[in-house]
Order: sequence, then C-alpha cells, then structure tokens
Amino acid sequence: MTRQNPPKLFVPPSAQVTLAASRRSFLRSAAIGGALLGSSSLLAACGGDSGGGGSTKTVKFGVNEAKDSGAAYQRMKGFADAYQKKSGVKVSANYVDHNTFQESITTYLQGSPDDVFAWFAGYRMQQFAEDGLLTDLSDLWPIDGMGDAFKAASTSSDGKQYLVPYDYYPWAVFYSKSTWDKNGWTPPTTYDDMITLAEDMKGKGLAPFAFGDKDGWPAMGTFDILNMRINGFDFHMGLMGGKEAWDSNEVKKVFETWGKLLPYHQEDPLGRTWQETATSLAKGEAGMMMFGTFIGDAIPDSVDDLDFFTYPQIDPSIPADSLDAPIDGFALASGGQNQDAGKAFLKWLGTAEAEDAANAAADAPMIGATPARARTATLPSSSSRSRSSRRPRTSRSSSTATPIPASPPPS
Amino acid sequence: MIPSIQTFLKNPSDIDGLTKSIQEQKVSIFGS
Repeated sequence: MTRQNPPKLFVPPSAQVTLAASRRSFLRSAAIGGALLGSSSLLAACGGDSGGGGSTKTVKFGVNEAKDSGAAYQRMKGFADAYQKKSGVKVSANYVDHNTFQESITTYLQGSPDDVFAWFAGYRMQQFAEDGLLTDLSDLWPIDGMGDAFKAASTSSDGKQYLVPYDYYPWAVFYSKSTWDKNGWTPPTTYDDMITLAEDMKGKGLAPFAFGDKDGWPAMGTFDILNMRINGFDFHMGLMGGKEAWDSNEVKKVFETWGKLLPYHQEDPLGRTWQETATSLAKGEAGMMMFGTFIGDAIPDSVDDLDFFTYPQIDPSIPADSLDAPIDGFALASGGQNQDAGKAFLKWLGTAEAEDAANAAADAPMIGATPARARTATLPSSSSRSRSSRRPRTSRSSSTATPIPASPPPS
Repeated sequence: MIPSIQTFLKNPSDIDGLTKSIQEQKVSIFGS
C-alpha cells in the first residue's frame, strides 16, 4: 500500500480546542456510562510479545491498538521497533483492541500493568494520576518543541505531569473533494446553509452525513460540537468538568437539535463501525462526516481526496470558533515493574525522532505533538486558511482547554 | 454516557428521560 499524506490541516488561530478530551470521548462522559469498567485479564491476554518483566533490558509497552489493525497499529509498532533498535532494550509490546483497552484500563492499572502504556491527555489521565496509578513524569518536562498547551493537558490536579503527548487530532467535517467539485458544493458556514446543502445531497441520493456509532464513541464528537455551537465553549467545558447539569435546558436543546439533524445522518448507525463509516464517505455514499483527522487511518488511499471545514455556526450569538482537538500520549504505570527503563523509553517517545519512526512505519501518518513533527506531517489547507482567517481571534483559555499551535511553522 | 447516547440514537424523542438518566448517572459517580 502506498504511503499517503494526511488530510491538510489548519486549526484556525481563533479556535478554542478541548484538549482535555480524549480521542474517543471525555472521561466524565465515558465514566458515566461505565465504559471504564472491565477486566485487566483482557489486556494481559491479548497479543503480547514474550519478554521478561523486570529486566533492565526489557520494557513492557501497553498499546491500545490490536495487531494488524491498520495505521495506528503500524505507528505503535514503529515506535517499539525503532526504540528497540536504537537502545538495545527489548520492547515487549502488548497489542490490545482499542475499545477493549479502554474498557479494561482501570483494573489493568490496578493489577500488573505494562510499564509504558498509550493513553489520553486531560481528564482521563488526571483521574488515574489522582488515584496514584501513574508515575510522575515532571522530570521529563519541558519537552523540546511542545508548548504550554500540551504541558497543561499533561498536568494533573497536583501540578505534576503524567503524560508524554505524541499526537493530536482536531475534529471537523470531512468531505470528498471530487464529490463536492462534481456537484458544485461549498462548505456551509451557517446552520441554514448546512441544511440547504444536506437537502441537496439527499435529493442526489447521498446521505448528507456519514454516521456510525457501533464503537460507542464516534457520536460523542457530534454531541461535543453541537454543545459548543449551541451553548458555547465555556458551558461545554463546564459540563465536561462536572460543573453543569446534564438535565439542564441547555443540554436538552443540544439533543433537540441533534434529533432534528438525525434524518440527515445515515440510518442504523449502531450497526456501523467508524471505519465502515469513513469508507462510505470515500465511496461517495455520503456527503460529509464529522470526525477526527485520524479518519485517514481507515481510508489511506483516499486521503488526498479529503478536505474539511469546521462545523458551521448554529446560534448567531455564538461564533464557530471552538472545536475538539484531543491529545494522545504515553504514561508510565506506577505498578509497572521497570520504572527506569519505562522512563527512558518515554523520554525517547517525546522526540521528533520517535514520531518520524512511527510515521515512517505506517500507511497514514499522525499529526505530531511538536511543531517540528507537524512540519513533516501536515501542510495548511489554503481553503481552510482563507476561511478561518476571517474569524475573529479570541483569547479565552483555561487550564483544561487552551489554543494549540494554529499551524505548522514554515519548513 | 455511551449507552445513553446510543439509546438516544434509537429513540430521539424522549429527551427529558434521557437527560434525567445521564444526570442521575453523573451524580451517582461524582456525587454532585
């Protein structure tokens, strides 16, 4: 398979992003649904390479991607293989299906976890840090090339860092350029424009929004963006932080709006995985898809045909200047048997060299956490840049949601 | 939250019941 470039990316300078979110959902949202319950035995049983536990020449690596599951797995294997080759330390990787990993994480960390494991920034990391399940990584910070926003997202309530970020992925509305060019469609900027576009798509036999939620988490992205567009960034962060009520009129309005939009989404979403959903977009069966930039992992051969726009404004009084941009990272389990080797591995994982190795091993690259990495993986979209530059800048930020680097520096 | 969202996708009409259920789950887990 030919290696592809990722979708062109430009996060508007004015955009406020929810770095506290995970790639798949927010901690508190997931925890409410009991999604973190599970058995550590699942993680222990799945896909691990053999290797000694406490040897200084072995570090155990818990990976939240199943073997041979696509580009994300390839990147993780790329990390492991490159470090093993460089350091001489055996990386004993434990590859586990992504959803299984999340469902089992609590008991996994409370049992006999791997040393280094893949996880998420923000609330989902903070909870485990507060419970004493993570090792303090403050001595690894500052990490070259990673700014304050990434540090904040890696910091728990005690002010210490517990994560080494490696990528981030804004959520936006993706579409096939060839399909849109053929039909003369342009990105909508308002709710009414979006409905008009959706009606035209339906009239031409396309489902306006490709939509699947068999995995449980993809629909959360739609909830998040609707909440931000209807109630604003601050309310959304307050809701995610447990400061707002879920039975409030504000949240009801989100679901009411979503209910009106559902007829423009593909039917039977609970029977469709995110990969199948992305494939339907690539095949021209649907016109748009609200998703993260890792959409390319599912359709690497179609990435060059993808473009995106930020979700349109819904309430005219609330600018469309916020979006989700979750961060992935690596943490050190306090129950890991080889703390020194784990920390040494983490120090390397925070380098541009590590990201380059991961991307070189994969069919579709990730967007790295440092500007140096981003420079190698992304270029700003001219269409997105011109659109976003018209938006007003804002300076609001908080400890859990801060602007990220707006665009890669010039190469 | 995830089961609640999936319930909503199957039956988007009962928003009061949905949001009440999510709020009750939040309180049971986080205490407020």
